[in-house]
Amino acid sequence: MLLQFIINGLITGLLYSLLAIGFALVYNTTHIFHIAAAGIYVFAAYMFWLLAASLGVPVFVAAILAVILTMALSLLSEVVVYRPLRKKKTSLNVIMIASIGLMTVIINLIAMAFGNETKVIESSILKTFSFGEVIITTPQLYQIIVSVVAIAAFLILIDRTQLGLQFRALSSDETLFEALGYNKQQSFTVAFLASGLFIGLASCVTVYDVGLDPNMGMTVLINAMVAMIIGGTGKFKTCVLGGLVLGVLQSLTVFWFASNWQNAITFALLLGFLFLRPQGIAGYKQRVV
Amino acid sequence: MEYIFHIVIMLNIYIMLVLSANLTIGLANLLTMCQAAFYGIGAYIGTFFLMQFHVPLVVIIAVVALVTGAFSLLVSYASVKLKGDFFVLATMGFQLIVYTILYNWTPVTRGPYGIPGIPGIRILGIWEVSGVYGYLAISIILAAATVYVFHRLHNSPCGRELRAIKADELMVQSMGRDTVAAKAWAFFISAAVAGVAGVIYASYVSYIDPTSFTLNESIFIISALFIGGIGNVKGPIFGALFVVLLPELLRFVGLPDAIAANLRQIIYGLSLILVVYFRPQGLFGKTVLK
Amino acid sequence: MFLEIKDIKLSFTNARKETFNLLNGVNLNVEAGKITALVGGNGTGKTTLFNIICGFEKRYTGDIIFEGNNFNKISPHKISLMGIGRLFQGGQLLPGLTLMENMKIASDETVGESPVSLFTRPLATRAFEMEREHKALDVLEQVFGPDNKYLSMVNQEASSFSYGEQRLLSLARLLMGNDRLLLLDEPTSGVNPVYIETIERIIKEMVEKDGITVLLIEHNMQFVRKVADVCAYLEDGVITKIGPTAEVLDDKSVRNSYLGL
Repeated sequence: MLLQFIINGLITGLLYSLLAIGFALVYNTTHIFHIAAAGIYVFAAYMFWLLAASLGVPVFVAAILAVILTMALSLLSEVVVYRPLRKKKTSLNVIMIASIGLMTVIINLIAMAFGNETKVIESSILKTFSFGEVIITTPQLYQIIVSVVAIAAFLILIDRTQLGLQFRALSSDETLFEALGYNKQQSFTVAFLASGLFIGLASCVTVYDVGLDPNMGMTVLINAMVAMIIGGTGKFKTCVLGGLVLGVLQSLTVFWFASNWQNAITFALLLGFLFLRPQGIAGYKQRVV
Repeated sequence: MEYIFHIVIMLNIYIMLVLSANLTIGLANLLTMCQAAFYGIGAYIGTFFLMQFHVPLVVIIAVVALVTGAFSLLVSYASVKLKGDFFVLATMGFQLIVYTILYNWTPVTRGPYGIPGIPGIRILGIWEVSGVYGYLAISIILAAATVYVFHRLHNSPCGRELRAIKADELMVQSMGRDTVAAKAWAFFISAAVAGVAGVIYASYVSYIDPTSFTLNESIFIISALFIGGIGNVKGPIFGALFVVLLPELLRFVGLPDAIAANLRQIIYGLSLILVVYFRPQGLFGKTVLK
Repeated sequence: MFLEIKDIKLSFTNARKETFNLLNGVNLNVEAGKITALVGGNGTGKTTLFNIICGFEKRYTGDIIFEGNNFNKISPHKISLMGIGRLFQGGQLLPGLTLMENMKIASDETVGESPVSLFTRPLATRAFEMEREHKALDVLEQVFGPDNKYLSMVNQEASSFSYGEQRLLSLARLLMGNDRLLLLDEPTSGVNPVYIETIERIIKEMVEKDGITVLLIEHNMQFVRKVADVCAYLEDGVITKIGPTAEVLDDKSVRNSYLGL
């Protein structure tokens, strides 16, 4: 029984890792508090639903298309909202306010178009797989496969490619980055596309399992942010660690207490880490001047 | 006609809320995302007192202000230990935890079932205020008092100190001023006013539940602040006007309620983006967030 | 003993667990009524030493004793109230505030600056505000002469003054605080040379007319020669040479290691 909960927690944790990576790709590079990511998540889900459930597109194709559309929206938010503000040298706090506005617009456009009720994509009963005591559902299997592949690709990207180096350089020293001859704008563009990719993947593979409604974005965003912080703000790889830890701890909370306290543990972890260990489990120790 | 009174009452409540947010966000440059948490704490604490004790209005307001203000010490502490985005996140965390407690601590708060039948406020222990006229009068008086208090604060050495702290906190410390205390006072007053707005709201609608005091509500208050204007008194007032009157305008135009709710949110969101780009101090504001 | 800096040590450990001793036993006695210059290469810890004296940096060992009071890690605003003023590196007027507001916020009297005193003592607040205003005008007159242009510009916001002017005004602002010791961190840096003479005059008048003691950090050696009575050379975390300015700046080892001559 406990093992089932831990496995469930790890699977959810993988999804949190994807989301944390999606958020961190923007936050670490541009230092923008990308609250609109909540809206991008919801958009991905509804595009998936629209294609798969409403238009009858085969699920795999629908997911891929939805992810591509999400990447486009992510890029669009950079071009239409963030870039003009950055050009005006708007402060980061103020850009965050614009991000809040953007999130509101996206979520409410979707609610207006599709309605506020919860929708489902797959309502038939799917196969489950047993591994000893542990049961894994088909959606969970998809979640595992997609997450593991995406995370593995990401780890390779961040450590061993030119692009990954650029992201890491951007996150620690913007001026040096430019001095080395790299183009900030280009890297930002790619970062936003990649962010859309990870958020889109996480969204599709989650809502296939649990359904969707326009207001689910905020909770998801908070989980992503907490995962990033637990792992270690400012670093990319630690998002994976943070996501898994958060997923497992949430699951254990449900196991030991009750499901309505699941959120409480998330917020407790958030405050706990912020006050007691702001660098997360494995992040940079910041020297406050 | 009664309906117009209802709008005016809600307007007054939001004037108090947005002005309270302006003290910390607009003057001292501390971006707090937990105004709705204080609004909610005030509402629930006030409700508790209203339902248990028959005390006059003044006492209720004083108690709610003090208790809600006391909760602000947590946020003050956060502002000392955490800087920048971490502080903003901590205020979000505070907001979420308050909501979670209101929602889950059912024995005390009745959780999602809410608390119905909240009695009216008593003025001088004798007259119970329960009609629209009563709340109209109270809300106007309290909103006016709030405007007066904040006007005094803004245009005083106190306001000057907060603006100086926004400009360069270390320099202000080196001039012999206890900036931690100054910020703590700003948080306290901001929370207290939001709390009083909460108890008036609770008494007026006579039913509260946690869904009125969510992170989304905090975001709503902040949106009103940034659209209306930060750093002065008329900006927040205009912001409150905007967010309270817009839904009525949409209703007047004849939009079905289902679409109206989403449409007005879209307008708020779009307004935020446009204001931030074209007029970052807000439509009637004075300063820009750093 | 006016200001005694005793055996100050401060070290950092970086992410690679390497320890770096920035200050390695700094000893310095600052004499009252004189202008002491603290010189040394970049990154040698001069500003950090100022931060320690002012209470912003607490991770040190050693003692700071000012007029017989051992500071012992008290908070910066309390240290300031004991009579110490500071000009930060690149110090300018507070943006978003007018010149008059800048002057008022630097005064020693804070009645009315807390909501408590504002609402419980409204008359006293108004009275002190008038006092602060008068003192500000007096200080501006004292520093820049009667009928100077700044008197008519007091309600202009800080950014309407040029960089150099803001530096001059920041120095004048220090006189609002009744301080007996002023720590000036690179008062001439970044400033158009036409203002340097005025800065020199202002600082000398602070000492001669107001009896203030000045401890300053500077990289402008000409300025140090003209202004400072005493010069202390900080190298490798300790004061290696201290004495009359000309002596120290002409010393062979100092010129070798600092000026590269």
